[in-house]
Order: sequence, then C-alpha cells, then structure tokens
Amino acid sequence: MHPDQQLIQFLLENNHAGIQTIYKRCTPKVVHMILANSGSEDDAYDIFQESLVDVYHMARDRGFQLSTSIESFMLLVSKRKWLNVLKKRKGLEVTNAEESLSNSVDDSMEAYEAHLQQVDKENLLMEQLMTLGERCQEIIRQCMNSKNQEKIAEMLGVSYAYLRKKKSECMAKLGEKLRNHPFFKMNRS
Amino acid sequence: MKTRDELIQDYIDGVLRAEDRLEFDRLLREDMEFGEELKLQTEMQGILKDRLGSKEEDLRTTLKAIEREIRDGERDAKADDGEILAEKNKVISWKKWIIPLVAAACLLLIGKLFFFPTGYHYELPDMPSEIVRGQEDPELNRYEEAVRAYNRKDYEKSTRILEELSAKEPELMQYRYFLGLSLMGKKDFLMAVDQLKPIADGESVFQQDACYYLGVSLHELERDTEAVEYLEKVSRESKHYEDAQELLEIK
Repeated sequence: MHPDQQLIQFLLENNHAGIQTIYKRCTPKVVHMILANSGSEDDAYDIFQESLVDVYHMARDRGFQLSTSIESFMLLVSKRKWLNVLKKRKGLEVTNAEESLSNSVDDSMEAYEAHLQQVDKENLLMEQLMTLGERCQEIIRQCMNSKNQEKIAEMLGVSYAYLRKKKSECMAKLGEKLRNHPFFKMNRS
Repeated sequence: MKTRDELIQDYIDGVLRAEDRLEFDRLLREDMEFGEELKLQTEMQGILKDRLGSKEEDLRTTLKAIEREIRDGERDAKADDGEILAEKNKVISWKKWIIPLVAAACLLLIGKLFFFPTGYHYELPDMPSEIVRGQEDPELNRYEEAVRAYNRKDYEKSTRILEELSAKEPELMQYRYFLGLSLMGKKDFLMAVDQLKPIADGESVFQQDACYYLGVSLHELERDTEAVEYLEKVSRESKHYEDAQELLEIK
C-alpha cells in the first residue's frame, strides 16, 4: 500500500487538516496542467474539487487502494475530467494538444480505469436524477433513505399505494433517461 | 393488475405479494427485456442508496472552505511579494475619476433603494397539491385549503391553516416548511426563521430548500453572518444553488 493512502483516509473522514494537505500538495500541478490546456485557475479548482469528490466515492464504495503518489493520482484524475470538459466545450472536436493530453491519460490510467468508469456511471445516474420533476426526485430520495415506506407516505401526505405507484413510475422514467443517454449506450456491458 | 414497473419495484423492495409472484416469474422466464430492466433497476437502486446516503455534501462544504483559505492565502502572498504595488499605482491614476465615479455610485444607490429596497429579489415556490383520487381525509382537505390560499398569495390564510396543521403533526416537515414560506410571504421573517431553521439543520427532503429560504429570511433581517452560513450549505445539486450564489455575491 502506498503511504499516501492515509490521505485518502482523511478524505473519507472529512478531515479538514488532512484534506488541506492534499490541496497543498496537488493543486499546483493541476492548476499548471489546466492553464497549459486552455483553462483558467477557476476551472482548475473546480475540476480538482470534482475529482476529489469522485475519489471520495471510489474510496468509500470499493475499498480503493492507491498505488502511486497522491500528486500523480490527482493529476491523472483531473486530466481525465478536464479532457471531458474540453470535449464537451468543443463538441467532441479534439485538438492536437488535447489529443496528447488524452494519450498521456490513457497510458497512466489503466490501473484505475474500472474504478473511474464506475464513478462516471454513478455520476451520470445522479445527473439524470436531477432532470426528473421535483416530485419524482423527492419520492426517490425519500424511498432510498428509509425502508419504512408507510412512514414516507404519511410524511408526504399520500397513501402507501400511491407512493408505490409513483415510485415505480419515477424509477422507470429514470431508467429510460439513462438507457437513452449516449454515454450509457457506449459503455453498457 | 400491477404494471411491469410496479412488479420490478415490489420485487427489489421485497414487498412482492404472493399473488403477483407467478406473473413476475413468468415475465422473467419469457421476456428478456423484463430481465434486463430488472437488472438495470437493481443496479440503479444500489447506486442511489449509496450516493444519497453518503456524506458528499459535508465533504463539498469542507472542500469549498479549504479552497477559499488556500486561494486567499496565495493572493495575500502575492500582495506581500510586491504585486500590490502595481495596483497602488493604478489607484493613483484613478484619482482624477473619483468625483464622477462617486456621483455615479450615488445615483445608482438612490435608484437601487428606490426601485429595489431589499436589494435581492426572490420568489416563493408553488405549494403542491396532494390530492389522490378517492381519498377522503379531513386533514388532507384542510391542507388543500392551505394550498389554494398559498398559491393565490393569501398568506394570512395559508399561515393560519398551516399553523393549525403543524401543531397537530409537529413531525411533518412538509407542513412546517410551507408554514415557513407562508410567513415569508407575509414578510414575517422572524417567525419564518423559527420554522425554517430546524428543517435547514435537519435531514429531511426539504433541508436544502430550507437552507436557501432561511438564508433569504436572515438576509432580510440583516443577520448576514448567519445568512452566509446557510447559503453556503446550499449544494451544487440543489435547484437553488445559483440563487444562493447570487445572494452570496451581493453580500
């Protein structure tokens, strides 16, 4: 296990001082990489924050083990995320500079790829959840956070039968959105 | 008879009735799409439970705070290194513009006070109806009266009814949340804060919305330090994130 694994543990524990160390060690390289690839300092900090949230989910859910230094790892995760932003901004038209960025990501990411793809899939589901109507979102959130659905129905002021019906409708709608998304079609195993 | 989607959700949640089991097994045996949908929905439910039960929001709050500390620190360091000198020179060259600038600012301020006395415009959301066909419940009828009053901006009446409902069912956050908003509609921000604060500090489905409206109420009461604390809790995923950021910028 790499000694920097302790820093991942700080992330899981939401330890302020520990996370500050991650920032201090990693952000200079990430900022430099993004400034050199058509981005701003604000972009760099946004990307870094989103990357840390992804790493948090990876580490929380799948016993993630770090095999490189935290600087190298965070730089790789941030590069991958930044590349996706560039692709979205330019409608998939990748320039030479971005292509070389992409190649450097592909070579180094192999060991982490399965974890990252899983996180991408999860992020996509959460994004699609936000596109549902408010009522559907509320029902899904409540049903996922509690097993006592009679109590949820009471809290929402609806009958248990109505809640069950709505939950199945909302989940079906969410499933449909996911199935129709290009990323899902491309990565369906 | 239950739909395919209902059968799938009942199975995943472990509430599939014996009489529906035969149909579920038949579909699973004979319909490949049904099996695929079951697999997808099971995976989705696993992810949703996991993500919605995580402490991502707490982590984001910490990350934002650390980012601010680090970037402020960098700015201070640059200033110490003399980069501020250039700024100072610019200030001197602006001196000749100071009088017209102050005059323009005064005009803007007067205009702002005249047209927008609070400086921040917010909108209260609609209160949703909970009518379910065939349901006869006196409490629900009373709630529907509150919905109608609130949505036509008769906040005196909606507040009265919601106070009554909330007293009967103090645990029901929905009553308390809309009571808070009704009080905001009445411009009774002090009472609105009393109703919204426990929701913003809690874990209900209204927590994020309550943080935003509590932030607005505190801003109206000029309790800006507390307002910032709650507005910063409004997460990126919330529909009020942009509004909260806008208000934070005003401060």
